[in-house]
Amino acid sequence: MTRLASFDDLVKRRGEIAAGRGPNRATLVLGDGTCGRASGSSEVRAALSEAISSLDTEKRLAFRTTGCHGFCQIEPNVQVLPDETLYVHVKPENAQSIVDAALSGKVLKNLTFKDGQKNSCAKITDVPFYKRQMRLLSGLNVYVDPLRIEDYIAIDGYQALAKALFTMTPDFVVEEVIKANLRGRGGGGFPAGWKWDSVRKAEGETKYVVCNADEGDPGAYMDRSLLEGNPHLVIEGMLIGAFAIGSHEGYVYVRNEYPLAVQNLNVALDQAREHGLLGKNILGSGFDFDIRINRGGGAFVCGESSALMQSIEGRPGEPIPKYVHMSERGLYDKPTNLNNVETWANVPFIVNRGADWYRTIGTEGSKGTKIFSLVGNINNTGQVEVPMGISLREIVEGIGGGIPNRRKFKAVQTGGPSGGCLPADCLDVPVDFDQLTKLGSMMGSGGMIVMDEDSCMVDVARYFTNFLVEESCGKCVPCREGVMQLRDILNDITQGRGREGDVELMEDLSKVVIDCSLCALGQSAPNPLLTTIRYFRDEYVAHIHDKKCPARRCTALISLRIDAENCTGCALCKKQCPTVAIAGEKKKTHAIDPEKCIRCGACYEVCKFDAVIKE
Amino acid sequence: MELDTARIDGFIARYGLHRGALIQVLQDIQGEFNYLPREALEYVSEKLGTPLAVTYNVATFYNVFSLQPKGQNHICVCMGTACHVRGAQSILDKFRRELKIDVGETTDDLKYSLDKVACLGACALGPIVVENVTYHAHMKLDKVGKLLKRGGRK
Amino acid sequence: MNFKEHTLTIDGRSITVKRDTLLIEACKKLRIEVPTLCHNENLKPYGVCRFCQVEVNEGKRTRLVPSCVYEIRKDGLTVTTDSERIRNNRKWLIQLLLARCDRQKDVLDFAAKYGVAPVERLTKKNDDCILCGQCVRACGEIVGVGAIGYERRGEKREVTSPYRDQNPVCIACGTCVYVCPTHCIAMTEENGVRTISRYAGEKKMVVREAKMLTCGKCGNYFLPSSVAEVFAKKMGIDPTVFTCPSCR
Repeated sequence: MTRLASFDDLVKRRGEIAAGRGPNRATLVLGDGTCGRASGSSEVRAALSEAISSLDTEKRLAFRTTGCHGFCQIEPNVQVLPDETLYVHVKPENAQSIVDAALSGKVLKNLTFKDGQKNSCAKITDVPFYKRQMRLLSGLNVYVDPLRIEDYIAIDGYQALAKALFTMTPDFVVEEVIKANLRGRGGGGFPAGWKWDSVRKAEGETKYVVCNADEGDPGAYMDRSLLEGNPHLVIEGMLIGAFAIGSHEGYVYVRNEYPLAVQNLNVALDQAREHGLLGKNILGSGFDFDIRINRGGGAFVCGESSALMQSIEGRPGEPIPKYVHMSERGLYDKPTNLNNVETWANVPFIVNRGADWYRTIGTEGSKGTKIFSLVGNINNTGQVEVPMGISLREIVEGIGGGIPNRRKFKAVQTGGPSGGCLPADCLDVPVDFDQLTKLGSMMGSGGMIVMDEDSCMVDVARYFTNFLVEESCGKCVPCREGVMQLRDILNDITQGRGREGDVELMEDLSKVVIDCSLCALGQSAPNPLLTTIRYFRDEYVAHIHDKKCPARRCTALISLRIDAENCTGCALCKKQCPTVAIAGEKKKTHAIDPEKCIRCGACYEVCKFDAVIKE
Repeated sequence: MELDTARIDGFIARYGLHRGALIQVLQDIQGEFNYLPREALEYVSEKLGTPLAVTYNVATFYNVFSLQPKGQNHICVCMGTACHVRGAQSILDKFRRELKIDVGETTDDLKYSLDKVACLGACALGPIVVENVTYHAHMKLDKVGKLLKRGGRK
Repeated sequence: MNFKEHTLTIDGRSITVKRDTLLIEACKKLRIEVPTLCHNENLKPYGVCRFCQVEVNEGKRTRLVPSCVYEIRKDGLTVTTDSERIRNNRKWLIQLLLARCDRQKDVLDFAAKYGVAPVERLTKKNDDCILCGQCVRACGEIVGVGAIGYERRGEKREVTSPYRDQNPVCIACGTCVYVCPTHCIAMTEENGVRTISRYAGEKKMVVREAKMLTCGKCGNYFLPSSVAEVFAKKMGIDPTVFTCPSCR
């Protein structure tokens, strides 16, 4: 019988699962999340399945497909447990040798990760990317096939829920979460325990628990990795929260752009229900709770809590001015507790190991770990989980491995469109909820986009401001009109039409947008612009005064020409040119006609001889 | 066009007959028909007891919905920050030039439609272009033409 | 029932109000005029024009809140309705509207009233609608038919009828025309037909063309038959018995 009807049943089931797995069993683990599939993991999966199926080794060698393992750069990747061997850039043709090596306890040197000095890092713990991380939450992905609840139960899954239901009172659970100082991981950093407490104490029988999986910050995908890879962790967190608050209905609002997360979450919810871990009379405790999934419609603004709830209610995602807290009047005007995916995922750890243990990680004001999405112009791209308080430099250089192609670090953008760009001088700042805010940026949901010297900071400001114009709901004057005007001026500046006084005008207008906007989208919209003015003012001066783009990025302010010395006349650039602006005979120096050139950069990208010069 | 109301009733049944179901039902319709036919919006409005003006507002507010059919090959260029710093804008511009349509439009022969998306969450592999359900990672300007040629042959 | 009251100070003057009173109403009771463009006493508060923002000190900190949506639920609030900060914000909000509706008379008059001149550097748009939403809200909340609504979002947001076509649920009552502060919805009557329309971009968008009812006594047109039907249904009578105001 699948259904678990007591704490004992859960413990027994865990034992049965462990017994069914040979103690010396090796496991091949393939990362098969969205990143994996985009890199070709589906073909590797098929090849490995075939290679293993031809062996009679269910007890000696197992094969597990999972979500993200974090080091997205090197996908498709296969780990061999329990040895913790890591194979990178795996191809289908490697499948047989990987299987053979696992069975004979060997390591395939040609597939291991090579560090900067070309040393082979066979074990995960040797890999610089993983060495300095503390993969408390994300590390579990390797042990769990998201489509098999047995895997989650095997690693003490739902133990925290049982502990809460049968050995704790709701009040005690809330107190533990307050004591742990779990702060919201979605960007706000508000103490989750206080929120839970307000909702618990609010009047009314019907209360809602909501998970914000909208994750709109471009460049941030921590929540996707968690939901795709270990949906049960989030479900368990919500169950514990619901128990503590006194809620029986929950929603997970997932953005539409994450189809695999929706799929895996659906399967997990069904399996949890089958096992008596969700729905009526959970584990025989008498507590009822169930979860519904709402897909977003493609709107960044729906990450804002009031807009999210409007969306669940079937309306356009327009934030509403709220001076009465969500904890009193939220979804359908009922007390509602909304938390981010990563916040919920921390809860089972706090209940299992206690608030005192949790407080040993992180800084005074920021406890626990944080998952960051380290992307952009960086060597080691991926999902990084570290204790809070670690410095930006450690993340960018120690874990990220610095900037590729021998370029120099210029800035790191944190906090998404509500955050800002910090220069090299700020690299030693500890990363937590409060330190980055002092510098004008914010930690936000965890997006960390590294930019090298080829990035134009004025263009970055223009990019974010334009993004916000497109995502604004358009209801209130300061955001709809104000951010749009900022975008138009930035367009002018990047296209060579900047005027004296533009920077001062944008600074003045920004203050009004921050002061008067209805919601946090508008209130934080000028942040990218203001931080780039604060730290990179000279670039604005160059664009406006000299009509030059120092990073040679803004197409209207650069020109492309071919260097006769390096040009071999291979005509690759001529083939790519969309406006037939390049002329030249075979094996003879080519030339660009500046009148026809639209500076799309195709020639620059395709030239193998560094013969195209950007000026 | 003959509207398959039974199909739509099926979608509504999944979520329950209440206004809160509107967006989920519209998503199922978009998934099924590749756009939101006017008759479908009118039918859903009536069923759920919502004024057509409100349903129309929802249909035009969210990026995922389109009132015009999407092309056979729906191309989405990721314009997330990580993809942007790796040159996504010039890739989008190339698609616009090659297909001779702008973002949000469909070619006359209904073969291609072009859209941009804020972030797909696969930033390690940027610039990324999604063609229907296929992810094309590490996109380069010279790969654009190849992608379009392959799509045409289908 | 909860008849709790709260006492607060607005611009140095004390007042006691029922709990959940809107701050703008409390100001009105003290005859303090707070400018608004989207507020309408007959409609649910919307809070989008941001002109009614005032400074509120709740004890720990001072913050700007839109007085049309802020409910009084605490004792001892200190409110300031006029300050350098508020005036600067309002000046900019007007300048943003001047850029959007650079030729619209009502907006120009509003700017002149506050002595605000346009900012030349801003992008100009010859729009006539300030998106206060009163028309949409009135049609939905008071008339109850919801014939018009919003289309799209952000800078592309507009008030339209669905598909910019005539909407049969519109009864051509003209409520939207009356509430509009910039008079950008037109109502015309010609040859026994009342037309409600406005411009959408360069094109005229007709929301409804409704046949007018003739007076049983004098034979003049006086009311769209669609409106007469609504009243007749509510009163349970035949709509053709209606007579025009002069003949009553």
